[in-house]
Amino acid sequence: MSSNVQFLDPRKSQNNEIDAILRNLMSIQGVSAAAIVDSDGFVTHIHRDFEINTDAIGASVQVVFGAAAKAAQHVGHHSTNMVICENSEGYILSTPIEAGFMLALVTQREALLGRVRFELKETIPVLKRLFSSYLAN
Amino acid sequence: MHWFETQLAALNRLAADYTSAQKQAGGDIVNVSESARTKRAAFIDAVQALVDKVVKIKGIAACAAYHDGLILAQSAEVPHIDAFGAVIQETIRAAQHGQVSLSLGAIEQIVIVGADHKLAMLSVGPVILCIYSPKQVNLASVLSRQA
Amino acid sequence: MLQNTKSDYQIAQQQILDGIISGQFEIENRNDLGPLIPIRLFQALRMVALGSNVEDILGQGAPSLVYHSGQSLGLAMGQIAVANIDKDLETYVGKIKMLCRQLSIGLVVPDKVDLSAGVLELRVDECVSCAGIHNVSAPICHFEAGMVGGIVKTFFKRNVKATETKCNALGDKTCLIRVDLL
Repeated sequence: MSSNVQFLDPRKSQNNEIDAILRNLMSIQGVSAAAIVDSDGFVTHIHRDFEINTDAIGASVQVVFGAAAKAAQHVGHHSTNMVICENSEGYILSTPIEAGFMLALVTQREALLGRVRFELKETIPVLKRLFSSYLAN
Repeated sequence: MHWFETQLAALNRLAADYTSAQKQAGGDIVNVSESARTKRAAFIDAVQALVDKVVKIKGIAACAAYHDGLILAQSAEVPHIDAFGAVIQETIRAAQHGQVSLSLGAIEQIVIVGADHKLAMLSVGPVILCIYSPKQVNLASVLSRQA
Repeated sequence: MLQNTKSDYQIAQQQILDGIISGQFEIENRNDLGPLIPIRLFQALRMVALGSNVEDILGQGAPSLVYHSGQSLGLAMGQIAVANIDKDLETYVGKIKMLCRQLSIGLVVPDKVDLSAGVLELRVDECVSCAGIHNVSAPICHFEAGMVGGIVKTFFKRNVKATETKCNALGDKTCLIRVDLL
C-alpha cells in the first residue's frame, strides 16, 4: 500500500497557477467541477459551480481510478493515463498527475468529450511539472 | 487563395503558435504554462468559430472537429456525430499506413464519397475538421466564400 | 409498503454505530464468547480484508477507501463526544481518549496543539491496526488517520487533512497523526 506521507500543504500550494489551470478547465463548455485529489482521496484544490461532498468525491475518484488501473494491469495495458466515466447526466474524467495526486473533472451532458479530453491531455504535463517542483522543495 | 484556404492557413498558424509555446524551454513553468494555455484557447476558439461559419454555408450539411475520434467542436444539431468520430479515426489510421508505405507525407485531407453524401476530413494541427455534404455539392466551390 | 433504501451494509453500520453511541458494549448472541475478539482477527480484517485484498482490486485507490472508512468512524465518534461539552476542546479530547480506550483502538495522546497554525498532532499508542507489525516501508494506519481526521473535523466543523507521519510498524514505537485544519 502506498505511503500517505507525501504531503502537499494545500494552503501553501494555493498558488495562482493551479487556480488558473482549474479556472481554465472550468471555462470549457459543460465543465462543472475541476479538482485536484491527493493519494488519500483528499481534495486539495477545487473549483466548482455546484455543491459537492468533497470527501466522498475525492475518495471515489481515487477508488475508481485505482480499480481501472488494476483492471488495465490485468489485461496487460500497463499504465493508465485517464479514466472516463460516462453517466446519464455527464462525465467524470480523472487523470494522474504525480505522487498519487489526480486531476478530476466533472461535466454536464452537453460537454464535448473530445474538447474536455484534449484540454486535460494538454494540461497534465504542466501540472506534472508544477507538482514535481513543489514536491521537490 | 479562397476563403476557406485562408481560414485553414490561419488555423494552422494558430496551431503552430501553440506547439511552439508548448516547446518553450526554461524553468519558468508558470509563464510558459500561461502562454501555452492562451495559445491553445486561441486555437480551439478559432476551430469552433470556423465550424460555426462553415455550417452556415449553403450545401454543407454538417461540420465538426475531432481529436482522437472524440468531438472537440461542433455546429448545432449534427446528426450521427459519434459515427463521424468513429469513421474519422478508422480512416485516418488507414491513411497513415499509406503515409509511410507510399511516402505520402503527413496526411492533410481525405474525402470519402458515397452514393448520397460525402465526407471531407482535413487535418489542422492536432484536430481533424470534418465537413459533410450531399454528394453533388462541389466543396471547393461552396467553400470559396463565407456564407 | 415503504421501500427500504438502505443497503444491508448500511443497516449493519447503523446498528454498530448506534451500539457505540449508546456505550453498550455487550452484544447479543455472544453469551459465551463475549464482546471482545483477538487483536489478530481485527488486524486480519483491517490489513487483509480492508488492506491487501482491497489493494488487489483498487491498487492506489485502496488507501483512499481505508482513510474514508476511518473518517466515517471518526465522524460518528466525534458526534458522541461533542455532545454536552460546551465546545471545550480539552473535554472533547478527554471523551475521545476514553472512547478510544473503551474500543481498544489505542491510547490517544495529544502531542501538539497549535490552533493559530491550524495544526494538531495526536499520538495513537498501542495502535490496534499495526501493533505487532514490523518492517513496512511506509505508514499503514490510513484507517486511524481518517478516524482522527473525522474526530477533529466534527469538533472544528472545518475540512481537515490528516496524515500519519510516524507509524509503529515503521519502528516509530507510536503512530503520530498530523491534522491540518483547512
